[in-house]
Amino acid sequence: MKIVVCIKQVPDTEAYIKINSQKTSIEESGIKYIINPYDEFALEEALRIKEKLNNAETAVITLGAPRTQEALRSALALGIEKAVLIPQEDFILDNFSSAFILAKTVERLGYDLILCGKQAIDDDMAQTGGIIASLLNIPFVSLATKIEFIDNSQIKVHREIEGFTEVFKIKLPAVISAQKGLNEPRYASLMGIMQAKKKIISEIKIQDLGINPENLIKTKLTRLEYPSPRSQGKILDGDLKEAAQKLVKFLREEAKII
Amino acid sequence: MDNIPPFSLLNKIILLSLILISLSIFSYILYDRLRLIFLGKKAKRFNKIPLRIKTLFLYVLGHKKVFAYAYSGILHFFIFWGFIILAVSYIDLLGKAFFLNFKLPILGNNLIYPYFLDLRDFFGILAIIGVILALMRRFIFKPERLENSKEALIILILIFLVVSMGFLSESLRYSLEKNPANSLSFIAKNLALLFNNFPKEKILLYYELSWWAHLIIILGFLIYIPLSKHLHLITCPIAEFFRNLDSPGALPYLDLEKEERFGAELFSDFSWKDLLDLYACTECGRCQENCPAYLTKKPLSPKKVILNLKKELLAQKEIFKPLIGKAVAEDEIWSCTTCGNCQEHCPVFIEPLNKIAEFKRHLVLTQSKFPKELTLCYRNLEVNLNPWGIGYMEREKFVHNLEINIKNKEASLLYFAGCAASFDERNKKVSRSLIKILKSLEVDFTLLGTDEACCGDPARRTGNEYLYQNLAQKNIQTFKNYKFKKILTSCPHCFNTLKNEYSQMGGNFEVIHHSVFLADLIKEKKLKLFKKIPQTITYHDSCYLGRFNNIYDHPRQIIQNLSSGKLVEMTHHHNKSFCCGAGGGKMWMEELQGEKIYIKRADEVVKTKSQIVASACPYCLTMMEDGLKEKNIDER
Repeated sequence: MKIVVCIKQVPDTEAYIKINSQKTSIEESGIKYIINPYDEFALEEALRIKEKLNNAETAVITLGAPRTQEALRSALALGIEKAVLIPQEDFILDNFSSAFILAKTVERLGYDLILCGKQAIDDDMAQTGGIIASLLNIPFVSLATKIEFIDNSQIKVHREIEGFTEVFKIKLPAVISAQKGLNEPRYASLMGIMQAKKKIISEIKIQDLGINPENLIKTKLTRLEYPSPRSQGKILDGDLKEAAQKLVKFLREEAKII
Repeated sequence: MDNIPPFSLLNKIILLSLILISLSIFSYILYDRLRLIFLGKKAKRFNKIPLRIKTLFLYVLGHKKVFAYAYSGILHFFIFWGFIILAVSYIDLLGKAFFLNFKLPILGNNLIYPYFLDLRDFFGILAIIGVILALMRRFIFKPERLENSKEALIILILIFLVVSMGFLSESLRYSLEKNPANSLSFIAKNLALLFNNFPKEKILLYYELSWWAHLIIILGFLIYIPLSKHLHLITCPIAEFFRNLDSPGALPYLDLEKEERFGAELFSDFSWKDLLDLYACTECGRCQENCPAYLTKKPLSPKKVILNLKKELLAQKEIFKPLIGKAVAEDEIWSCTTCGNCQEHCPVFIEPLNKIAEFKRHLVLTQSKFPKELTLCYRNLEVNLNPWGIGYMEREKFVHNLEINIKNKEASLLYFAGCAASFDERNKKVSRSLIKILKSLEVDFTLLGTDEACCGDPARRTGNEYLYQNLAQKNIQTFKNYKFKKILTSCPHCFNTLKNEYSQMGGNFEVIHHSVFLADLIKEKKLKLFKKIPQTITYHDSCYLGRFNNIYDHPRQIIQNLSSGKLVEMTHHHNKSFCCGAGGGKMWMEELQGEKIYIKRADEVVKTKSQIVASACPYCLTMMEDGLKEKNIDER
């Protein structure tokens, strides 16, 4: 059983985001990066499956700048056995091209189960898992909250939707995207961290996969903008009667609602 | 003299065999127990020898810490000194049995000897009084901290018997001899009057019987010492000699590069001093009586931890098996708030706190097993360098519109604000006020702003030494880039960590807590308070300021300068102060078992009827306000 987890390194949820001068991306300086929180559920699930089954092998892959090595190192510290980095050169990739590269890498590594987070918290696109499944022509279940093994070739996947829990029975190989509630991610032990320091992160170059990513790009981000700042709330003073009069005046003259 | 025949050869042989047999049994049991200590790791306890010798005089012979509890202190002092003097007299007793003309060196001198006998009698009486006081305490007004074991009763009876049998045999001898030159013992003289009407032969028989009975009790007692908690007779002076002379606020350093095992899972992971501590416990229960976890009905009692470990050590011997889950439970370990009361009040300097800390280290670093709330705290510390998890770039925002020069590398005072003062709304008021005072006095100071990271206390106190060392290293590096003279802190946890722990990693800085800083300014009349407030104030001692750093008076001096009202003390204050419940990283964990510690402390505040409770610690401040709010008492 080969389990491959696709992860993404994203800015910390508390990071102070600034748009860069080209207005197509963000200023990287001063930003702390973390593993996308939904990908952590995917990593944890891979580890739990490995602990349950005797013959499972786990690998983690990511596509990105050299700094993404930290994310892979953290995944190794948790207990993932193998890490692969696909260095992303200067060009900007879109979802399709990224997923394409990931799919090719997964193919090369071999897979029975591909896990990823339901979406990355930076661009919130929620496409990667689905595109990988389509490209590999295998089943995809999104927003998983529980994965059960029927046998080595079949699994049951639970997903929670408003008011219901859906239970799918699917054949492996498959892509599953993880949702909060799937599990409680562990914290790396110092033993794990020490061992992870000694492990080698292998690299697969995009060219080596026989891809020219620029031909794959289907969408182009043209501009990033800040949302318009929310105007301050207004407090109407005076007693009840006065305040009510002011409110009516405001709604009629300024807000022009009535 | 002619009435008492000298010891026959047969008697001497019997006596010698009895002594040799009991000494061998005694030594074997003692060896069998004490050898286990050497299974522990190395510990640096051979430094500061003059101070250690002083400890022997002050704390062993002088009982300084034992006297912290007056009643038990006095009774123990009586028994202790009674024992020492009697032990000398037993040498005299046995010497005289073997050699007719035996004389103790110095004490045996004809001029001194009579006084020695008087002294012996006097201390014998004190020992008996001590035993009676101890029996009364155990059976008439027993404090909760004591548990009545068979052992304790046997020991008290043995002490009573050994002393009284000695008196009996001595007075019988006196009535046979009637030779004042040979014995001036006042007890013997007076008790001998009882036997005036007895026939000589009977007195001789009783004398011989009582002499042998006395001897057998002494030898039996000797064997019972290493078997019982009376082993403390031997282990306590040693344990006290090797006590921790470093700051009580510093946890032992863990070399993450060199060590292969982190924290304690097995007995072999502890130091020899930790193992010696287990044998030194006298079961007095002072640790338990002051433990906030125990007093709020949580699963922890430091006394139980030590005793269960001792029991386990004797059961396991050299075959080490995991201790957590067997001798000590996980919820015991996580109940500890690291308030330090256990080691503060232990009369023999046992360190339960460090043992619990080693267990935490094992759980976190090796097993990654800890209350799940801590995961978030650790991640927040890793990414945003503060336990709240607020973006690290926000750290300097609390100083907005105060117009200060942050990150000034040349300032002479470095105000290390700490996380609470930078991120917590209530505590920002404190740090902002402190900054305003500094500004008004035109102190040359600066803040680290976004260069500052958490001091690491929440990580270290919960066992995450790796994360702590990362944070500490980062701060030490930053400090070295600045040219300050002194670091000012407002949080006692930062204060303790920077002052007592950073030196373990090469960070030696002068650190001052704002309570001392302000009290000094008031004393020097640099800081003048124009208006006094009229309210009565009670002061809540922070564990990390008080017990760990001995700062009790400075905050009180400030209060007395601040208020024209009275400063009233709570039930627990100074070194007996009751924890707010947030130390030891408990701020970041749920308090699910037993009663709430902060509510218990808030009750004490209410009882003082004071209008203001003052605190010098951000955690305490938060907990006290929460406690009082829950009691429907507004912020005062």
